[in-house]
Amino acid sequence: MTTESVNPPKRFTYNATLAIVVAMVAGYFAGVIGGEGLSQIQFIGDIFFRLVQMGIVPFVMCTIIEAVGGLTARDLSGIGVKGIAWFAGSSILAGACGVAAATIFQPGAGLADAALVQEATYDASGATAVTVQETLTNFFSSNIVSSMGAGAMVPCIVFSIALGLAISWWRSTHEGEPCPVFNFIAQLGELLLVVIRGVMTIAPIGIFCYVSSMVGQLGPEVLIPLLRYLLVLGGTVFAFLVLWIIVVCVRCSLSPIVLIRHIWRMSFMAIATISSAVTLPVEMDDAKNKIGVREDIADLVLPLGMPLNSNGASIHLAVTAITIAQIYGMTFGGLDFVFLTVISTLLSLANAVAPGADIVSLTMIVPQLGLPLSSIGIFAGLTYPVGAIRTILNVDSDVFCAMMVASGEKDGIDRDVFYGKKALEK
Amino acid sequence: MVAEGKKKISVTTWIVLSMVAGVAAGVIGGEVMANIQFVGDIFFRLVQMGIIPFVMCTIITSVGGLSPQALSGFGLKGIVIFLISSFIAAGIGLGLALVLQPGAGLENTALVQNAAYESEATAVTFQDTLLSFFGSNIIASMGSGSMIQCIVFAIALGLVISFWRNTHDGECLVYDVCKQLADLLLNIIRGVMTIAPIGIFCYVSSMVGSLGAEVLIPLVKYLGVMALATLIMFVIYFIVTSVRCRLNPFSLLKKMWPMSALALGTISSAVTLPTAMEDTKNKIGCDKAVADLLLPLGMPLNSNGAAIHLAVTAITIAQIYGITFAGGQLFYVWMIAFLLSLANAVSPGASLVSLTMIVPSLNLPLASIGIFAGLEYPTGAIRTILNVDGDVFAALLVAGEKGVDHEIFDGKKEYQEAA
Repeated sequence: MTTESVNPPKRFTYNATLAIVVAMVAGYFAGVIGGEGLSQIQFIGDIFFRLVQMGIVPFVMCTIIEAVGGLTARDLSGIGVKGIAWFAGSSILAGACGVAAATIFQPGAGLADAALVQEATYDASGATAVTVQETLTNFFSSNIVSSMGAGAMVPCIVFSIALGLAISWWRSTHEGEPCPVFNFIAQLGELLLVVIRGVMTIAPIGIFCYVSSMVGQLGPEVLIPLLRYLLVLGGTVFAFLVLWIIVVCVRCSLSPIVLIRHIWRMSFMAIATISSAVTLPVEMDDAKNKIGVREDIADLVLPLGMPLNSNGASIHLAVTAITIAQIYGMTFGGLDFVFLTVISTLLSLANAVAPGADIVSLTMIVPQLGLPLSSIGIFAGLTYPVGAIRTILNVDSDVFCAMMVASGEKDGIDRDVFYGKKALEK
Repeated sequence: MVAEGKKKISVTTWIVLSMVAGVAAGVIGGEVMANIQFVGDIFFRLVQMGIIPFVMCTIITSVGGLSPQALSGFGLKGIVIFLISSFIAAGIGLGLALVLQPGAGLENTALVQNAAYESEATAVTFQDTLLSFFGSNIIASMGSGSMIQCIVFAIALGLVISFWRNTHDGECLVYDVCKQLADLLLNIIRGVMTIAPIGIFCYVSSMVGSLGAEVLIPLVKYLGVMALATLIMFVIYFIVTSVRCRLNPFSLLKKMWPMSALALGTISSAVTLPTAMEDTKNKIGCDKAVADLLLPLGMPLNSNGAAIHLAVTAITIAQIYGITFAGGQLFYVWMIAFLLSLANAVSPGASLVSLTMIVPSLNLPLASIGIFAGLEYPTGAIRTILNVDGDVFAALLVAGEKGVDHEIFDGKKEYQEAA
């Protein structure tokens, strides 16, 4: 539970991230100098992204089946259900905030007349008017294998949640018996993650090729929206954090200043490691010893929240998807926003724990919206700042959810611990 | 082993008989026989339905089963030789088939007129060809039967499983499931193969009936081309191996005769494996560690004969239908023949199974496989000899001069099992 133990993963993450940033900068200059000629190497970038993508559908499904199927009867009752309800509610709200912020502030606008848009081969069929009924119906699949083949992520996730719940129920009624389906899926998910991690080691090469060919074809102004994009993303996450703190402090009647001081250490860890898994031990320690959340609540809700509650990822997916759409001059309307919110929320459940997790997430959402995959290249260099912004909210919102659950329980939050009048007795 | 060999021969005999009967029935019955083609279609669909998961599971297991020992040192060298030799073999087959044109001269027959082949006129660049080896969704690749994309995924997953097993005491549930699934699917394929004579009779009789007996003319030429390609590969192997290990090529030829004969008789590299391992150690004097690792490893991974067979057959079928491959497409045929040779079904009728993989991948009509179905035995024999002997050559190349005990090779010393 000490900060020393996280040094090796931290250093590794930093190097991979640095290599990606260097590749992006190098690709930018190569593109400016080389011009059109660099479009010849785009296929290397394509191969890289296909290698990441090829296992994504089974990976997402296995991860979700494992997360839901791993819930025990205890998780699914009382505290656990309340926690999951808060996770779901806050993730949906986060996705909606991301959609709203990106739509209002238009980080990707202003490029509509650039070569980019003229060349974009966006299939407009997805933008045809659909009814509420159709949108909702499309969340459900009539054949899971064909949905997997078509890469329709939402029906796959719905199926995975259903199968996960069935597995969880089966495991609770067959106590002690091994569940081969669960074990197989859990291991397959891990193996696919190792494949993705392995592919990620060549990310700098793929990103260099993508960025240089994009800049070469479209000109240096492609990067203009990036700054605005980061500002919108950071601003939305910040606003969402403030909203959380206000809600939590009102509900639990605690001092917001003291709360910010208590979550400071875990937030800093989140920035430094850009990994909610690495931050978890510190997070649990502080939630119990500094904030005073009852031990059983913290022990259940926080680990559960790591895979299931990713407010930051939800905002990131929504903002990025809309920014890309704006770069290509596409507009969403009405029900598209509902779809975007739902898909951002659902995909935030399937976070890949790997350097460049944000790029992996983008390869999931971008094809779903009919956007060109090569657009991801320009966001690839932002792995570190984006990851830091995502992770702070992912970590802090877990603690806030735990506090919301605790506030409804008797002695849920020990006020003496919170105000530093008493140390937690072990 | 003897009994098993007899049984396999009898299945093969049945297939040859059914083809002869099919030709006769086609010549006599004529057009009417087209009505029973669906029986042949059902047979081929039964073979095909499990092929995608079977190939993927087989590759995941054979790559995932590699130990770190196999992945480093002579194991790695062996795998490199397997890959290079299979690649060269596919290239030789491709080149010979293009030069000697075994399928030419049938462009104006009914066969071609009836073939509903839709040519794709799209210009394919070098980048597109390479890119098409990688799928963006493995389930979609499986669904559309894109074999190379499935194999790429299977190799990636297999490598990860290999590392995983290394760090988890060899335990891996996914590996076990894939292994058993592959065994089960192979049993299905074997079971379906027992009705192969019926399916082949229906296919051949309806083809001959509707197209006339001249369909079979290119087959003789085709077999000749395959045998010639195999012979060239053999000669190259003999020269390279003899030079590298300083062995007398004629004694080497004599020592490899029994295993080659067994391969010919059983047309199964799995059945031949024990004999191949024994002779490689006891007669040729190859280093035990190298032989014990590389020969079993080579059984699934090294199939020079299959690579030649796939390349020659694909080009022959294309020539029969008057389709020409050029530039990037030829490279694609080369790569697909090479990669599919890694996915050999170990069962009687393996050559047909391989054809059901490559023919749809090249957009050629599946019905054309029927023409080759009766050649099961001769093609299987040519394939298997080279598959088996290629493994031995690869092991000898890795062992090098120092790895071969020349006293054993010259018959001056008996091989002794290390205590």
